[in-house]
Amino acid sequence: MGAVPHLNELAAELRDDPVQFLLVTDEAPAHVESFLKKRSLPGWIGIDSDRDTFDRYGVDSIPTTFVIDANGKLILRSSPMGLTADLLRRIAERTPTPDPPTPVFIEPESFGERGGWVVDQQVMDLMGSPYVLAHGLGVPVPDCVGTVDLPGPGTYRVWVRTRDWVAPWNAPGAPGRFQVLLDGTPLETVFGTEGEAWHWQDGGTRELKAEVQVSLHDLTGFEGRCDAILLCADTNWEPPHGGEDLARLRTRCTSLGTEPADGGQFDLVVVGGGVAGTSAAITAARLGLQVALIQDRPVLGGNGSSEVRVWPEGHTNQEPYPHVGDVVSELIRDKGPGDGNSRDAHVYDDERKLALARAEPNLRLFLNQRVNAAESSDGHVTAVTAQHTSSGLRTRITGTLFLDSTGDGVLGALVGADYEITPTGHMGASNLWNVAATSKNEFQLRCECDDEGDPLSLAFDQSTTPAPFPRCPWAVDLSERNFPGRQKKTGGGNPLAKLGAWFWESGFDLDPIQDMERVRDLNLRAMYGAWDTLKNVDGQYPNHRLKWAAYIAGKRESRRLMGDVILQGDDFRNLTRFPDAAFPCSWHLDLHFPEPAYHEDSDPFIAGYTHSAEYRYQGPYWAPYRTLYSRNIDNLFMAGRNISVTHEALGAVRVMRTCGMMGEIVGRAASLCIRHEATPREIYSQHLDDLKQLMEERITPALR
Amino acid sequence: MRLPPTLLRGAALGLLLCADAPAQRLGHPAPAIDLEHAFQGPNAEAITLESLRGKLLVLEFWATW
Repeated sequence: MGAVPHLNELAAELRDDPVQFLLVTDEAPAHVESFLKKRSLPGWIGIDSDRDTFDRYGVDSIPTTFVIDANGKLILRSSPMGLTADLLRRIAERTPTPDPPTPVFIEPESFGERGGWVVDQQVMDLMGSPYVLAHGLGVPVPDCVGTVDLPGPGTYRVWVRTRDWVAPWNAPGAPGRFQVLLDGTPLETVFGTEGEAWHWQDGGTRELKAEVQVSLHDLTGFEGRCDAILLCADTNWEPPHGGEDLARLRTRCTSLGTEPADGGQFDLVVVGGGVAGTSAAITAARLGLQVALIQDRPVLGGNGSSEVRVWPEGHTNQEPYPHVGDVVSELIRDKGPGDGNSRDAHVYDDERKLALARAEPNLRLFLNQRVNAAESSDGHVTAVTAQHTSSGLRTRITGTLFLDSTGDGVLGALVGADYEITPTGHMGASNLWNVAATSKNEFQLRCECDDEGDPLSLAFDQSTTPAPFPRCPWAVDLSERNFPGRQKKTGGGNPLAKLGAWFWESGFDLDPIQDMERVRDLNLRAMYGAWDTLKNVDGQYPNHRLKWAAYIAGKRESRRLMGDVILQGDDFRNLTRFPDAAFPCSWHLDLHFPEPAYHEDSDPFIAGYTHSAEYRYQGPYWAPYRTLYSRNIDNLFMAGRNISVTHEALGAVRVMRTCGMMGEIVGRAASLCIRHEATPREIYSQHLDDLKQLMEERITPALR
Repeated sequence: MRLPPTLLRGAALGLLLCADAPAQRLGHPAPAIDLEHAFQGPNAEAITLESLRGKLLVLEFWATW
């Protein structure tokens, strides 16, 4: 019994682990019992008088030890002295827990026919997947329909992952209601009616054939949402509602579990296809680099696209480097009389930006793909993995240089780049909107156009018929409150122009990453509350309807990645001169905050802006190149609103033409990095004259 | 079964890994346990592999001598 002390030590060390000791002997029970009075042994003691267990385990010498995992598998045979607590723990960790049932995991964003439901990828980093949204502006949208193969016919329990999106405000009415139809017949449950958090709502059981048609049927047009549907043959099983367990289930049951496809190797990998990223990609491609441009939407341009509709401000082509801004000027036309915020889709000319990117032979465009994983070591990025926002398929893209132009510092955060974020009192996000006397809203028209394969040709009929709008008790209650656009007896200007303008903004004290769904939803609740008040309280605009509203938020402030220089507000006030002056800023220190005149509750949704003397614009200010690369990730550039600035300086650099010129500078610097095998930092320390030379040159399209 | 790398490192620590007597092959379901008496735990008939699912089992064959 020489192993007894060792076994006792092991058992003591593993006291809190899910480990059971069972010590089996073939000796007489009475003998064993008296032995146990003298010596202490761990665990359970078994007597195998007939030795059948000895034989089954092939035990021919004493002592012999076996380890059996949590699934009843024989893992190893050893002498007791060969076991250590560490080894047993490692075996326990490797043992997969017994497989839960394998449900059919349905992602509606992958359906071939999405009807009027739109794919919302804005919080997919938090959820693991995009969801679909019934963004109908009060008119139920057409069904989202897909066909699903089941393991076989039988009874299935249906779980629908959704939430009541107004529950965070304890608002009544559950506006986002929808049904789920299986083979055309609705489940009895109405979904989207309960729960503040995303969760699986039980849809009961249903007898199904081996192939089933699944439809999401919107009941309201008021932002119902569905992440996923589960069909499970084990009707007693309840799926995990969140966390790691849900992530594992999703990975196990969807295409997320497959190995990423090889997306190729590039000189420069641009993550984020807003104006900054697109300008960088085109510039670098024209300078001979192999470039990947990865964008998580179907269009380029970000806040300047038809999905967000902020008109890009700022001035390009300034002295002494009049060619800085050439690419931005190709992407975005000069501002004309019909151009501005929240206009019709064609104003933002998505096709122009896509065509320019597609014309570059060195540029590979990855649309509808969001980078949500990255590989790095020793402060150096080697690869990113992007997840397709509808198929879920992943693609791994390797590169020499990387650019984070996501606006949120998404790539920087993934690879451990230093960043700052202003937790409260930062600028918010807007979901612009507009109204008009039209017979349909843009989303209804787009659905019809989608069917005909022509989503960009939107035309509106002027309506002379009444357009009733339901009361919205779940929206922000504005019936007794003033808001921009609510007509008073005096006052000038077109009140309709004030609806859905830039100052409809919220999220000032919420986290721009973690709380983003809530921020967007507050913008929507404010819009619906305002329109309800104008239509149903004030009795105005009887023939008007909500024509368009962005469901993609136009964000202003998020993570700011730190570079070798952190540009300050005082640099603008003092006109600090930097030797690496690289892009002209032509906007005042324009910071937004909750507008006190409307700020009556804890959820402000109207912004004011800084316009006193200390924030004024003094003419073009050239900001330094060193704000455009990470101080601790040696091959990571930044461009756009996530560059190395303080909260205050962001107010001046964040306008989109300026962001685009940052991209042009990054494109130039990246070409020098490749030419000289240098890091972004070394372009400043060793090749600054080369960069200045390139800034004097026109960046023309490659000869084709 | 292909041993995971951590187990191979375990072998390097001096473990004796047994190959393949048919009834007790590593990586396969462990043979049944059938005991006549038991102390310090449940009754003998209650000690089965099924009842131990979810836990790692250290099964030691021993003697008092």
